[in-house]
Amino acid sequence: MDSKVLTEALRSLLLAVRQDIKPDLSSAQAQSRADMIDMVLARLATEVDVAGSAGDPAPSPVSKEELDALHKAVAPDINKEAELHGKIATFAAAEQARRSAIENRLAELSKVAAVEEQSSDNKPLPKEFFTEYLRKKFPEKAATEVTKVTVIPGGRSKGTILLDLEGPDGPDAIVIRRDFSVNTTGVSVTYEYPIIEALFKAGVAVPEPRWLEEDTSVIGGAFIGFSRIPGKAMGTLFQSDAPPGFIKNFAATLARMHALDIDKAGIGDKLKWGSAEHPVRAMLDDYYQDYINDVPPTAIMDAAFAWLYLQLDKIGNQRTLVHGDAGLHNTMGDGDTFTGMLDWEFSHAGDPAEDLTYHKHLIEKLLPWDEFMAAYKANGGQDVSEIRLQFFTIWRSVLLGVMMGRATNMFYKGINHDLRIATIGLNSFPRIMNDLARELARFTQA
Amino acid sequence: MNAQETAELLQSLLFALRDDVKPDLTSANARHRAELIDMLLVRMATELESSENKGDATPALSPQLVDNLVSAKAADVYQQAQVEKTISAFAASEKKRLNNLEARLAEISARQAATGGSGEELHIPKEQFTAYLRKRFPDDPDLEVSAITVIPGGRSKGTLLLNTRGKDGTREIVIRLDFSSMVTGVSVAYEFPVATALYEAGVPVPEPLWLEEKSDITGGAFVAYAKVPGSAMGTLFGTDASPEFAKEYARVLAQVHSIDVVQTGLSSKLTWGNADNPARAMVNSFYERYRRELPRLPLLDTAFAWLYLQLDKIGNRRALVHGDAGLHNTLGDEGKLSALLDWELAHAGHPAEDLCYCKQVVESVLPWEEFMRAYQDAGGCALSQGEMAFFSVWRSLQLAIQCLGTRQMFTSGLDKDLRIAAIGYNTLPKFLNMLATDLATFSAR
Repeated sequence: MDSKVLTEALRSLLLAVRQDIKPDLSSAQAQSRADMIDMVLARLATEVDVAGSAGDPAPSPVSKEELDALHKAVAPDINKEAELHGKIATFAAAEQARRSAIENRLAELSKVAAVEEQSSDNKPLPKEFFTEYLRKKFPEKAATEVTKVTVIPGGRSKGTILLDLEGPDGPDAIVIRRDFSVNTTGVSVTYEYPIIEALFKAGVAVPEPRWLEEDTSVIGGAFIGFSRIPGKAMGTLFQSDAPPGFIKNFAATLARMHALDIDKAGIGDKLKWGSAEHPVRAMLDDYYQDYINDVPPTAIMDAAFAWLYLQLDKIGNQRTLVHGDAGLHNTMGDGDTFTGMLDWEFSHAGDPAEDLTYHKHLIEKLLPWDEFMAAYKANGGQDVSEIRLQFFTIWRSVLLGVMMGRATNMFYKGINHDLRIATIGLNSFPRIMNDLARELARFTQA
Repeated sequence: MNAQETAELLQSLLFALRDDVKPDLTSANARHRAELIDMLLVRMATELESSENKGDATPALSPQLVDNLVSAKAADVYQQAQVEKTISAFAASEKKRLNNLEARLAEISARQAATGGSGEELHIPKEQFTAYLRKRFPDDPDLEVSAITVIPGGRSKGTLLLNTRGKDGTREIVIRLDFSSMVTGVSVAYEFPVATALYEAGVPVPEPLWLEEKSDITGGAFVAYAKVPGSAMGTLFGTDASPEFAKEYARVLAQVHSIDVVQTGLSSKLTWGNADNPARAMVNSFYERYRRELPRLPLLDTAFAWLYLQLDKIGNRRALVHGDAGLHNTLGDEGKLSALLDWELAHAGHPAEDLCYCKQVVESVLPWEEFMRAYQDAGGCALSQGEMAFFSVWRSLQLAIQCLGTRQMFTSGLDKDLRIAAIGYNTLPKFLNMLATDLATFSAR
């Protein structure tokens, strides 16, 4: 972490403390500690920032011996004393200039309030706002009234807002899935709408898409209104406590989804790489371009791309619907029941092995892999070769690396300094690189 | 600040965030953001800590080679095997390096703040104090402590407020006690006779009730004072006191400075009270501590040299000096000065020290001439230019030395609390800046 990145990261922390943390504190002790955190962050950011530019302190104008002599009250002769005075004055003037430059910088930083551009996008939208919007959007349901708005925090690329409403047909529960104004993945919700529509019609467990709002001026990004489905998220990107029965149902859902005839469903050419001769190669090429354009050069990514290209001939040119982010964090469930597969922004045409590999390491902790694959095959899924498993294991980390590396780049280049971008770019990215190095070492040593 | 120091500071921030801030958060968004802050602090601390021992990296692939693979220029079989080998070697070495880093990160993330840091507050059951008081006042067998309140703050001393009920009714007693690890190294036992002499001389100080030299309850000495109404009238850096209050403060300082330390017998109890030249003895004692315990800074060296060169122009006055005479140590009650507190740094010396100490903050509410007029009208002496210069530099030097000592506590691992970090890394540079400014101003004359 060089000093520029460090400075910016510290500033992101500082702004987050001021904007998000301090206003939520109520106890005096917590407030005073938060003030101290603020103070030390501002100090660190300033010192790291000026470390290079403010210059090093000048060496002491008095020698240790001279100083000790003064201490022991051995008066220097008059000439020497005048000389010493002169040296002290010169030194003090330089020190004053150097130090006051730092303190002025600090004072500036301490005044920085929540003025920098945000991508947290979690500003509250009042229920009156949504009531008015829905009445205009659906004039036939003019009696609709939004009774509650809940903003779900988190969400790396998309925001989620829950609406409870009373309509002419009784109560309703809507999930708004929105684009953030600054988008780390570059895919809008407008892309996923027809895909989810097709899946819903085909009977695959997804939430019912109710409408698409393409007008980005309404809430600062396009959004989809979904019917809320029962259940809860069955895991995170890193862990899950889903029961084995649920995992089997997840396998079955993947199989049904992979069995969808995308051309018949009318999404074949809407899907990314849906018209490519070799969808997997096309995907790899696109991401390699993204990597070159948007991600700071990283040696392990270079090596992984090279390895993937070397394996490509062993991977077929399948063209099925792939979810692309098929982890348990995108599943909803209630006990064993699988209620819905969410987040279709990364879906595309490709090899189903990609989805199966995506959360393999986590699934294996909850259900033996053989049983998972048995459930998948029992519902129409095809077997997957070892090399495809390896290929897509590396692919997963490369893909995540490109997406998170984009945030690293945004942060480095100063496009966005929000804490969310900083954590993805500076924390998640290196974690993924660690996974990638481990996997690549494993597969290449065999 | 090197990478190691920065990493340690970030960890102090992390612990403060976890221990003090997170539990107080209620909104989901704030909690989520706090998690992100936590995560990023851990990451930054780890990377900085590891930045100094990187080790040799295995050379990576040439970009040319990757580009060739992308454009599907199939390498021949022999070349392909070579490339696979390079990839394999590189992946193995990266795996090792990155695994170590993540393991370190997990370790730092799991690390707990060391216990026993001064961040912990004093919590003493009131029954213990009740038992103590009954033993101390056997003629009041029903005496009891109805409440104990910890007064937060205090750099080196702890403060408790006791509400008692006894035969003479209810009472509020302030207990000022020594912490086990003291920033200043002066016990409350030192200030007791000073406060007593002041109280007897009619200076507005809280009435000292008794001194407990070694208490089983608090683990150290404490002094009991009668509570005085009022609240602190400022900080070390600012005040919102009225001009009238500042004038009253000037009069109180004049009163303090006019106490005859020899007649009252205080001189033998005060630090440097018996020195030939108390001001010189004071500079010497700080200089010796600096040379003995603290890292040398060119600015501090220079400031000491300058002070020594001025010392002949400073008289050897032997007044009672408060030593930390800022408005942060005054209590105001409905605009009136009700008490001057905190006598632990009181010593024999030159009154100009106290005046220069508070000058900057006082001037923000009252012109200095008016403050000095009030001081002189109440019996205080005028200050010479030389005295002003000397004690202005002395003030920032002395505060810088104290902060440097605090930073030493942090770097040596004695106390890694955020409060210590904040003093050592944020307050210190402020005082050094002040010192550089003062020294530049006065040495240019």
